[in-house]
Amino acid sequence: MKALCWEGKHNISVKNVNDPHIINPHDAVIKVTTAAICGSDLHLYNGVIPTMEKGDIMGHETMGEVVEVGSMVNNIKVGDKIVVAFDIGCGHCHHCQDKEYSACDNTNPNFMIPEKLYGYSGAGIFGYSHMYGGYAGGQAEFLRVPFVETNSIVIPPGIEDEKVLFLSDIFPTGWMAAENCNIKPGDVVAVFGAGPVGQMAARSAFLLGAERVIVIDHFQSRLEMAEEAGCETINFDNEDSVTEQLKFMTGGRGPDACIDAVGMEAHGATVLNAIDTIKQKTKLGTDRPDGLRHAIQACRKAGTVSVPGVYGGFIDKFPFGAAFGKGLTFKMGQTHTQKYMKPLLDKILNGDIDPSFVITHRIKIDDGPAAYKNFNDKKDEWIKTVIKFQ
Amino acid sequence: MNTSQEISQKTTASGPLLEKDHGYFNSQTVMLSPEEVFSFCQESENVKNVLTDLPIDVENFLDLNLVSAEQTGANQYKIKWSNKANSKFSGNVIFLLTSAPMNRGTYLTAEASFAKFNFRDEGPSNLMNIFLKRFKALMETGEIATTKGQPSGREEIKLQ
Repeated sequence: MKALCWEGKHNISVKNVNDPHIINPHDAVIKVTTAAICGSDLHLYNGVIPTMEKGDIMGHETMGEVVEVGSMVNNIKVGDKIVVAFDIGCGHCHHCQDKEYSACDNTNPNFMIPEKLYGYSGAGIFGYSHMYGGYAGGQAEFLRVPFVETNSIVIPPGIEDEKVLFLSDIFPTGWMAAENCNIKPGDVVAVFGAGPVGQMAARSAFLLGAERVIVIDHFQSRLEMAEEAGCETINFDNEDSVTEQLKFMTGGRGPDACIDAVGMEAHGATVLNAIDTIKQKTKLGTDRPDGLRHAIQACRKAGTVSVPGVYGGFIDKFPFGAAFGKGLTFKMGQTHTQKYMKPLLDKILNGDIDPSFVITHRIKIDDGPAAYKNFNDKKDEWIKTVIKFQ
Repeated sequence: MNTSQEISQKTTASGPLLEKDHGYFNSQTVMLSPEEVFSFCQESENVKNVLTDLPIDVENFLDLNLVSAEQTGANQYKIKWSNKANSKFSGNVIFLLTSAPMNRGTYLTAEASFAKFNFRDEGPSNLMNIFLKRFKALMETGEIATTKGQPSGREEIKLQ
């Protein structure tokens, strides 16, 4: 089969590799019909997530048709069209039983690595480094899905792939980010970063009852996409201080909740971000958290900072004094995707939202390497790419 | 004496690790009842399944006898495996089981002690951790997560 493989920093290639097969009894294999490139894939592309190995198959936003099931799979059958969660839960451990699937005890074969780094290991993730299990990803013609009954949802016939594909990651991720804000009537939510997750978080915040959503970025096309959903926007290139502008827009109170949908590779013209960039490039630091710093600074007293953006290691100049002084609540982490797939599928089927609004580019797998480069360079209003296999 | 007291006493008594009669401990919580875990820990086939693919000499390690399996208190069990008398090395593994608080599964504590063994690349403490995690996964899910045998670009196929 053809697969997009990580060959090193800024180097993705299309390779012909072996087809996957059933390994464990709860596995299934799908013929991929549509996949997507996630913003977090760019962290791999840029070489800032450790433990990638040359030849690793990329991708964790995938759907397709089941072509083979393991001996202990009862509720998924060959021919079913399924969307696959990006994180892999076993469905049986304490965390999975509490619907904390991304904290699963049993699906990361390389649990020793995160245990050393983080104290404990979370779930395995498709195509996202050996620290997260070393699973082959879904930017390929076929994908092996462990514990398929836990980690997928069957899509009713007749539904377009593009409407439901993002149940694999960015829609649940944006939703959980907004849900973590504990939104109450009248709340104002600020979303830092208008990429795909930021777009989903902004719309989710409205669906969860936010009165106003303010989106901050510096790419005009992304801000316009947010405005189409009724969001107010701030282009941070045009402001001396995003915090002051947010205070001004909220009567001096500040946003009730701030969502950092940027993560570890923030852009910006601040001195701290310049230092972060130098440290990241010279391997003296790991993450560039300028979006998070702004979110903490801008959030109102006793507000909530929700972090769906991915972080990997250590961050400097973390304004913990501001967080403590204002009594902020922090919520974060990899998404418990499986918890949200069914309720969010229902919202799509009910017509409450069509997540395909975020798609800007459709490609074939052979165009994958160029798509990565263009997405990373933010060329041609590049926001969300889907890879079509049929 | 409960399990934690027993383990604590053993750890304290052993002090720094010695050249002989090492004692290594690890503990996991398994989302099954103590009775189910008790039953599982007595099956040599289950131990063998967990040891497969580990960086140890499985054939020798599996030269084990079930020495004892007993209930030591309410929801508390103890299982002891030892190497046979003519084995190439001497050692034993003890499993201690107790209910987790609010019946949220079972604490499974394992102690391994042995005189001499080749662990290849892994230190014995790491190995205990790996062993018990895999044991827990097999009990809870019926399988052990793996990526062995999956495709990658490291084995590219040349098309004709």
